[in-house]
This record gives sequence, C-alpha cells and structure tokens, in this order.
Amino acid sequence: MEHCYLRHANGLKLVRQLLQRAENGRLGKGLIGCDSLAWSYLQRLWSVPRPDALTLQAFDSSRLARLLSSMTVCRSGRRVHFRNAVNGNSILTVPSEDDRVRSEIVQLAAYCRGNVGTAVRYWRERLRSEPEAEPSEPSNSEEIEQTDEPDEESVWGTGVLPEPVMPAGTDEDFALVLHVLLLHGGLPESLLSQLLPLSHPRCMALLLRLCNAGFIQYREDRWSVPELAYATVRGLLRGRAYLTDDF
Amino acid sequence: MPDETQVSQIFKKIDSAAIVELVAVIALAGLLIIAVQRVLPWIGNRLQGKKRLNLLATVPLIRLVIILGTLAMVMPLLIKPSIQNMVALLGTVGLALGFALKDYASSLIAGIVAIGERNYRNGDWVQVGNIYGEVRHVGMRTIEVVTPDDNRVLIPHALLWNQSVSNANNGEARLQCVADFYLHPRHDSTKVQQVLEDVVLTSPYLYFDEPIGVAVKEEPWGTHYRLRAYPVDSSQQFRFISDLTVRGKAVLTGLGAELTVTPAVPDRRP
Repeated sequence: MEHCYLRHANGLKLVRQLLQRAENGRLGKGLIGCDSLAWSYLQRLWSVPRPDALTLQAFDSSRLARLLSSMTVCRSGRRVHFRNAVNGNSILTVPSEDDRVRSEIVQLAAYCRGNVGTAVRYWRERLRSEPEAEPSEPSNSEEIEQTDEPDEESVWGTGVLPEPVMPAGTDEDFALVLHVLLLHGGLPESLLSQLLPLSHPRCMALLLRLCNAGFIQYREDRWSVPELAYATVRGLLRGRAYLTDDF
Repeated sequence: MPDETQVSQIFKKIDSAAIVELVAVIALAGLLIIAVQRVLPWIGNRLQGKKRLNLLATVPLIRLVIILGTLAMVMPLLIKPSIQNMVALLGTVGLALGFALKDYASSLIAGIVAIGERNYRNGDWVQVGNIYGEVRHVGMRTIEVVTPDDNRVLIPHALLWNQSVSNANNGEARLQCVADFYLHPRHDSTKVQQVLEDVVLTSPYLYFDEPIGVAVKEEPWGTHYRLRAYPVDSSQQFRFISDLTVRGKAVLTGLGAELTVTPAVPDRRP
C-alpha cells in the first residue's frame, strides 16, 4: 500500500478510496500489505481503528537464532561454528549443542528491534567467509576458515555491525529526504522535488551524498533506504521527532 | 572621625593573603561561568527538541548559583560577618545603586526574577514589543534575542516590570504556526477546509502528535482561513509556514478559488 499514495495534497485520493472500500467490505476478502512507516502515516490520514490489522511478531533472540540456524546449509556434514573474528567468542553453532542463545544474537535482535529482514541482512553482512570456501592464500588468519576440530568448521564474523555514517554537516534536508523515502518505500527522483520543498538539483545533490554514505540505494528505478541503514535512519528520524512506526 | 571609625569596624583588615584569596575566588568563579556559558550551549545545540531546551535553560540558573556562592565566599573576606555590619553595608550599597544605577539595578533584579519565574529560557521564541526571535542567552542584565533576520537584539530584563512578554513555545520543543489564506467569498468553504487540511497533513515538517486546525472567519473583504499546526522543531517554523503557504496557494488555485487582493489606496493627505 506504500506505493498507492503520494504525500501530496493531490496524492491521497486513491489510498483513501482504497481504505474506504476495504472498510465497507467492497474489496472482498484478501490481504493488503503495507510498510510499517507508511501504515503509521496512513493511520493519521484515515483514523478509523483497524483491529484486524496484523503484523509479524518481533523476532526475539531465540527465534532469530533458530531462523539463522535453519538458514545455514551444512554441506560437508560437519558442525558449523560461527565465531566473532575479534575475540573468538562463539556466536552460533549449527546444529546447536544447547539451547543457550549467545549475547551477540541477543544484541543483534535488540538492535534490529525484532525486524527479521534487517537482522538477516546484518547477519549476512557480518560474515567474512563462507563455510565451504577454501582460502587460496592463508595471509590473514582471521579471514580463513579454521578446522581446529575435524568434525567442525568455523565461520568468522566481524565484531561490529556494519553501519553507514551520516555525512558531515548533517542538515535538516537529509532528514526530509530519508523520511519521505521511508514513508513511500522508495521513490523515483522525479517525484522528490514535488513532495519536498526542495529544488530538483538540491534533491539530486542530497541523494548522491546520501548514496555515497551508504544511506540510500538506487534499485529498480527507485531510491530507497537499504536494510543495513534502516536502523540508523529510523533512530535519526525518531530522535528528531519525525513520524516513525510504533514498533 | 566617628564615621571613619564605624566604617573601619565594618571592613576587615585586608592583607596580601586575603587579596590573593579574593582574586582566586573571583577568577575561579569567572572561569566557571565562562565554561558553563560555552560548554552547555555547545552540547545543547547538538541535541534535539526538549533535551536541548532543558539543558540550555540550566545555564542562567547555574550562573546565578555560582555568583551567589562567590558572594558568600567573598563577603566574609571583606567585612566582619555580623548582622549590623551586613545591614549597614547593604543599606549603603542599596542607596548608592538606587540613585546612581537605578535602571541597571532594576534590570539585575528583574533578571533574577525572570530566572526564578522562568519567563523565558534559552531556546524559547519570544516577542517583546515589536521584536520576535529566539532567546540565545539569558544574561544578568539583558536577554540576547536573535531575530529571523539574524539580528542580535539585547533586551533589558527591566522591561518585564511594565511590558508583556509573549513566549511561543515556553520551554517546549514545538510551537504553533499559522498560515493565512485570504479568499474571495464565492467558493465552497467545506472543500477549501478539506484541501487545506490535506496541505497540512502532507507537509514534511508536520509534527503529528499535536492538533491541526483550520479556522474560518468571514471578513468584509473576503474569507480569512487560518491554518494552525505544529512543526517537528520550533526552528523550522518559517520553513513550515512557507511550505504551507506555497502549497496551499497552489492547491487553492487548482480548486478554482480566487485569492482576494486588497486594493491599495494612495495616501492623498497633504
């Protein structure tokens, strides 16, 4: 539904009709998907309570650990052990030896606020080698997989979460661009200057600076906020009291 | 001669050690005040919303505490601490200030009252007379206000005694903004109200947790619409009003509503 409206005085008619028809039951039975930030905005436009609106339950650390375990493909038949490349601490073992969830998984789940999409993206980004990869040059002992035990192979992950850094001299216009992109689930550049009180060249300059800093990406003819920047951007907007989602 | 004796009884004999201590206490207090006035605003301007205002508001309070503490430390070094001596000294100083520096003393006292009553704090948007701007510094004698045109205006606290002070945000992070529209009376008011509400709801600066409203008033020359809403931060007020005005005019023009123009009548008086 985030693509069914524009935050413009002339861009709300369609989504209001859609919500009205859904309310009247004229759309029949079905499922309408909506981004959480867009839903937060649309609730302000159409303030009818929707008790039947559902959202995915937040992934806590144990659920996230189970998900990450199920995503791990063990081709050699040996146990896969994910370790922190900085301190060597164990992060996850597949198959698991016990039910204990390591602190790094707890931190990841908390940082991503239970958002499974961003948690999985962070997890993949942190991995520094794949279990099946054979190192050609053992130049860096941290990056290669180690086989200390014959029935176990180790996968090393970076110790810190990969995050973009906001460009120096952050001004209000950065927040405006990021907010409008999140509310619409991404936008083509031609629409930005119509939705923001900024000229087209100014919008382009901001987009390019944000893109260089890793806060936005250009994919499928739209500028959008990537998963790796989502937590930072959401925190930035929430800190400045812009409208964000409730979870 | 008796007067000289009485005065000499009030003051202590000041030796070099007392002078060193006196200078050290005053210098330390001065450094502390300078540090507070620089460091806290520096940190505060890196925060957002209410946190910024709360931190900025502590600056004059801390300064007042430092000044009072310094006086409490300095006075026993200069005079013999008895009630008679204090009354005699304060009476003399009060009399001198009352005649020579009446306005200055009035501003100082009004400054203490203003800090106590919290009539304005750093970060507030105030109007005193014709001056509207953001309070950047609450001094002992004056407040420093920076207007939207980036002019620095120093307003004595003494104006508090006989002039009203309008505070737009009163320590809050947000303040209400009003965008005015003047339309020819022949139009569909219901439709105009709806589109003006949409103009507010689609502004990138809107703070959603405060109410928005469209007030309508019929005037002899047309219909006056007042669009009321709160921006995310008080520093965005002028951009917010500009955004509402520009987009509101565009939407109203598209709707076919005619904006009124008051004819300018030349002044023909001799």
